[in-house]
Amino acid sequence: MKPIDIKQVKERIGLNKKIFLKLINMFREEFPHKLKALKASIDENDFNKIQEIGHHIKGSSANLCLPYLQIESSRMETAGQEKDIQKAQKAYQNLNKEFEHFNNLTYS
Amino acid sequence: MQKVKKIKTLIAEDDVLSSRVLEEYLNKWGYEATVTHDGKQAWEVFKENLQNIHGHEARALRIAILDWEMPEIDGIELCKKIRQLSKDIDNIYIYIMLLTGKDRQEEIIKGLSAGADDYITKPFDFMELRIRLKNAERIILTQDRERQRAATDNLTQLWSRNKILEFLKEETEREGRYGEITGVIMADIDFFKKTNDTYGHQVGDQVLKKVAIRLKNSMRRYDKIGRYGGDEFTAVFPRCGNKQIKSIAERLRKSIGSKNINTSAGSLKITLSIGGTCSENHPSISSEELIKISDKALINAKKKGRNNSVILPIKSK
Repeated sequence: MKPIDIKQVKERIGLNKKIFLKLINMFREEFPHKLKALKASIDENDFNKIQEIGHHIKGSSANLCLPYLQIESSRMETAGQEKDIQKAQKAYQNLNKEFEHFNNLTYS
Repeated sequence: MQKVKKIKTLIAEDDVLSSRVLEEYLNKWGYEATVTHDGKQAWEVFKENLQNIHGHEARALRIAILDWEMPEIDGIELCKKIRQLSKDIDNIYIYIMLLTGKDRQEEIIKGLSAGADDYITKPFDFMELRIRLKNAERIILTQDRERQRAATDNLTQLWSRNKILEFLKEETEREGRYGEITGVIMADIDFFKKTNDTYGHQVGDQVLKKVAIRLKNSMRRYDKIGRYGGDEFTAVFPRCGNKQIKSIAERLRKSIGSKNINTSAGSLKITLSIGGTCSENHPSISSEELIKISDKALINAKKKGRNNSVILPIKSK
């Protein structure tokens, strides 16, 4: 799987390129803030917040057909629900990694 | 070319990016989207919209897309509140779609029991969303046709008795809140029974239709008129004071009496008797009281020989 599933984008989304790039850039700008908030929530063992942020990232990444980020954020959401801090920490590391892969791509 | 009206749609989604994506799609598909980011904000927008659409139903929100999990008020709670408020004031139907990550049957049942019309699980397929919105439009159209049918008098195409009385009630309640004034008129076709007995009911119907058209054409854009029953009409005049109501009554009377009405039985002389009143200086008066006084004024107009108008003031208690 690639960081962004272009085939799904074309099939499922069908937005024009300009709008899609605008949304991708929005995601790119917003994501570091979400990661920062996640880190703080993990440090404080705030499982409600962990679940909430995981849920949001899952939704946004699914909307933009970003499968790896969707998978890891889903794991984060589950970690929050199960109050499992180790699971949350692992998901956090993976989210960072996947975001880096995603960020390194250029879209045209 | 006729301009296609955009359906006003409320989006309540706390994730900023998801709400942005939804907004882009809805705008692209021809809807007019208003975005909110929590249940409380969505509720405020809904209430404000309800207040502002009075007499202008084209401004109403018709579709609400609500995320299930939101801060302040969640989608389920918001759905129940919208349904309750709409029921209380017999408002225009709003189609509610829940966005949910939940796909277990009992949770879907919970959502639909709260009053949602439809749900879609996240992450959703946008083509599926589009089709579901098309279904929503079809249901809204059907509801609107039913509502229109109930609100319109078949023969004259004026508002029905229920609709005009409902409007008067809303106006008098607004008056209480905002200090506005309302004028009311009751009009009755003179000797209508005789017209029916002489020329037949078909001619009677022709007279009713033409009287309705002339009366409607003689009113201001925001005044409303309905067929109260038989050969009686009720008209409501927002922001109309004591000075204006008499001249309005005379204008309506003359619109009928000054020129004969053409029917299949020939050109007929038709006149109106009119009774009216106005709520100026009596902000707490009820709609029922206004009708009662207007009716009394109408009786006076008949007693004075018909083909005239009588305006009665409201007596202070």
